[in-house]
Amino acid sequence: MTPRPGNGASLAALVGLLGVLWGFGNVLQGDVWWWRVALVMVGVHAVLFLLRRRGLRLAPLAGLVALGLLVVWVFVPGSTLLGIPTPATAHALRQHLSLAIAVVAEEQAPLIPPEPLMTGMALGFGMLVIVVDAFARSRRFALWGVGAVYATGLGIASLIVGANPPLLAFVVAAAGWLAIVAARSSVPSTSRLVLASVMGTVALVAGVLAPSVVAADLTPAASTWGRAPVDVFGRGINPMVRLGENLRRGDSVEVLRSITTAEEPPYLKVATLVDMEGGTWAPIDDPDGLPYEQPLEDIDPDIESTVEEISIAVDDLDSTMLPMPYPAEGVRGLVGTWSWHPVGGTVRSRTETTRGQTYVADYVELDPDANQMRERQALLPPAMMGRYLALPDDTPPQIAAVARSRTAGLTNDYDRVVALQDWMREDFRYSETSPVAEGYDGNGVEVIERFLVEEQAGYCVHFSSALAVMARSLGIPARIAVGYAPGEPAGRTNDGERVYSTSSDALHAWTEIYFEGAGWVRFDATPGVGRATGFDEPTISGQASVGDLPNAGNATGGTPQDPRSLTEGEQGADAADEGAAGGPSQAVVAAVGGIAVTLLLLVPGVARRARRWWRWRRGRDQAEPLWREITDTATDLGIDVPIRATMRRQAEPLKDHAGPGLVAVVASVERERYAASPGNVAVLDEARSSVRALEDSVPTWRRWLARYFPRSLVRRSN
Amino acid sequence: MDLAAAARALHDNVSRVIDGKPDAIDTAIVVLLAEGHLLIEDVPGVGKTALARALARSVDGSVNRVQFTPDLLPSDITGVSVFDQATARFEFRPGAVFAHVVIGDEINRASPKTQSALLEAMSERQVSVDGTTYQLSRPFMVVATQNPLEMEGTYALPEAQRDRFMARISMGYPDAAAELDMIHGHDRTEPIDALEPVVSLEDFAAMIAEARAVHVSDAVGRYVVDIATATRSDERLLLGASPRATLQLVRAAKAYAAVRGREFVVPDDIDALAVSVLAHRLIVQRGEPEAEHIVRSIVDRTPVPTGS
Repeated sequence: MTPRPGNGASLAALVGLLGVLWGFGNVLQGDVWWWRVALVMVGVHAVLFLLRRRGLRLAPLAGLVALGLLVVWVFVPGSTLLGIPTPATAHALRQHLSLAIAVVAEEQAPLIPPEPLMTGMALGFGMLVIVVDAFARSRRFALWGVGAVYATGLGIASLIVGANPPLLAFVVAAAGWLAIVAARSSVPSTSRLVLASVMGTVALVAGVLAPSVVAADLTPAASTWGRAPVDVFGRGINPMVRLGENLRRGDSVEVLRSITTAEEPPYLKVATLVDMEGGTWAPIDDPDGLPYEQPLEDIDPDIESTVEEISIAVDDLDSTMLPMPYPAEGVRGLVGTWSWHPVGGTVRSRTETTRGQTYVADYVELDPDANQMRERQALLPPAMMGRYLALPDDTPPQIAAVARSRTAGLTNDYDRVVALQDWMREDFRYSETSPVAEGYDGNGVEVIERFLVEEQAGYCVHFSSALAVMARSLGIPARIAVGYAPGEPAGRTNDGERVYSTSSDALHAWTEIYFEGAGWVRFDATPGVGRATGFDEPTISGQASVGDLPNAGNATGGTPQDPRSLTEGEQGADAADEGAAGGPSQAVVAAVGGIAVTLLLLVPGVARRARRWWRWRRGRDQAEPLWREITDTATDLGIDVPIRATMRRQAEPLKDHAGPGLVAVVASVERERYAASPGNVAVLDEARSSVRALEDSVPTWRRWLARYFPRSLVRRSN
Repeated sequence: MDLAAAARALHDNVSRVIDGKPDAIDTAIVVLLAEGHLLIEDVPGVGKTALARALARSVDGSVNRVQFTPDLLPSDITGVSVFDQATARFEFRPGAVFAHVVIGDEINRASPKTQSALLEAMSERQVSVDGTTYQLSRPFMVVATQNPLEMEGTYALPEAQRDRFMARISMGYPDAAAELDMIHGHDRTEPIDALEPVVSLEDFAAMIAEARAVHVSDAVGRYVVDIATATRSDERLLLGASPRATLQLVRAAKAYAAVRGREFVVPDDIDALAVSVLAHRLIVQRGEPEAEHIVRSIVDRTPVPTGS
């Protein structure tokens, strides 16, 4: 056997695909992701190559298996038993993939690719390796198929970022593709070569041009795409998942400015997380089942409290969730329709984003003394208690053990929580990078155990969730708040008011603990960030004034349990459009991505259609293309046509399906191929009827499969 | 008369005598049309002679039948000059080969010398006796029957002589229905005597000429050469196909195509004839499968040309 030209073409296809992968360099930062995904791709290619050399016909299937194993070994090795996948592996992969989907749907380019995204990319590109390998080895479809994959891949990359991928990516992809042309043209048919070159060039050029055209049309906000707008809290997402990623971005921008009547700027809450599931804290999806905020009027009148006001001007933040102090009485000045979220007293919108919003919120600052807090039990109404104490079944017992040992001897819930908070604040180290091991920036219970027992270093996600889990293990209702730590002073207004600036790296998570008569009280265990909670020891009490308590009737916004529209009618219409323009990018990226994937899936079917159309055209005065169309159709439909056989032997398996026209086509092709003077016998109609008869002779599902995934593109027929 | 139609008529006519053997009849007609000779190898009594006689009758040709025996002399085949006392001259008495169809029954029972006399006449299409050359009639076809070698008292035909036969067929036993049919048919009349010619000798000569004119494209020619070459390099064979075999395969394919109403040969013709034209010429290594199988496998794996 002579060396098969397919090996060279397949290698060239792999190289080109590695170039296409680099095309995502504008979307993803760094190059670690490239090396790791490339490692998997090369591995899959090597396996395919070896198997094909041994003549294994099911090489693509084996390639898929190899891909799965490689991804497991490279990305979730910890879940295997000596390299053998276990049920935990499936779980870890599932988690990775769902997180990857969340990142793709929610994040904005460019980003540092989190591990799960790399896993997803490795799976996707690994499959593409198998696909282009099959294409490259097919005699007739090498150029078209591989070219289409390249163009689509580069097109997606450039669509996401709204600019052309790195030049290197194009050069490598084009080189790989041209190498295939060279490898595949060993039987040179000059016209086919020229045609293929032209088609390939057109495809690549289209890949380059499409994004600029499409992006310009679809995305009014395209201009902002290049510079990483801060969008942490998209639509209905899980903020916890990406908090760490956002903290590590490095390029911080000013998110908002605020002026407050209080002595110190407040924490600004964006979302509240109650349930711990699937290894992470999740936002509440059924708020109706769990509305429990402390009604402001239920706050014990003995506790000293003041009503403060904060004016906030949002600058560079696209989010549907409004940064708000807690507990808030009301909010004024918003554009568009916003409503209270019943849990956590946060405010969000379905139609607007925060960009450019300027609003004023009234909130209550409680100032109990320590004894007042010590008297209170951390108790919710029984119906709510269970959910705020729930812990995953696999919570390591060490967490509770640590919590108990740290609170030994303390007699009340307040002291216990403060003890845990202060322990972490004093003994632990702040680090945005340390526990970013396997598992996603983990805040799952295993990670918390490691964090508490071994690492003792981490960032707000770890601290807040460790405190919440420890509190729950002690029977103290707890939840997580996500938002911004207090702003930094940034000068004064003309009136002398202090202005605070909050930057994107003030993103933060903290813990809220419920105390009867005091409501949800913030505790922040993260060292060096914000303020620790520790109320003053009582000196002389009795200054609390009933009059300071907020009057529910005067509250502008209504109580948090009572979601109510905060529409500012007049400005709404005009401003709404502007607001919408600020944040369509995610939806567009998702939509464009979906369309691109769909298009990619349609490529084989369309190519097959085009080929048929072309053959029908040529078949007006030639019989050979008609015969190829018939055998290819049969191949698509799963009827095996023997290759290298005489025409009548090839026609044998088709006889029962193709109807009477077949004989005429065969005779005409034979005449064309072998007769001294090939006369033109038009058999187009016979060929068409044969193809129709073939298609009608198989079940419907077969027909559909043939239409969208035609085998004849990758299998060599005669 | 249209060649294809005439061939069909021939086929039908012969079929009246030989029941249930369309492939054997087909090959016999093709060989006659291609001016080749036919070797029928089979057990006695399956209709070998009847096939040859019916074919000769159908083209209005003469038939001679020679029963080959160990004591048969070469001159019985070719003819002999005898002295005529009345004219005081030597006069040539033609032997058995002077007929359109010569049936050599059990050819492998004769001595090698006698066998070779017949085979010489087959390839030369002429006989030289005492310095005078006598042309044989046209068409001229020898239908030799050969009992399988295991039968008693047989001499194997040397490969050089087997090579002179265009094709070898094997009749095989008729199936039960055909055999039953035969019983009734033979009871009433002697069927071969009842056959009428369907083609005149002149017409048949024209048909032969027409079959010779069938076009063989370069692609098909290459296909034949590829197959022949493959037999020569096949490890299972001691002796592959000779160039004569290649030529005869092409000639047979031409006749085969003509019978099917085509004026050009297609690879399918080659494919259909390769086994019967090639197999009997090959010498198989000990322990390998029959030559028929080997030829079939070689043809199956030889790529079919698609261009012209």
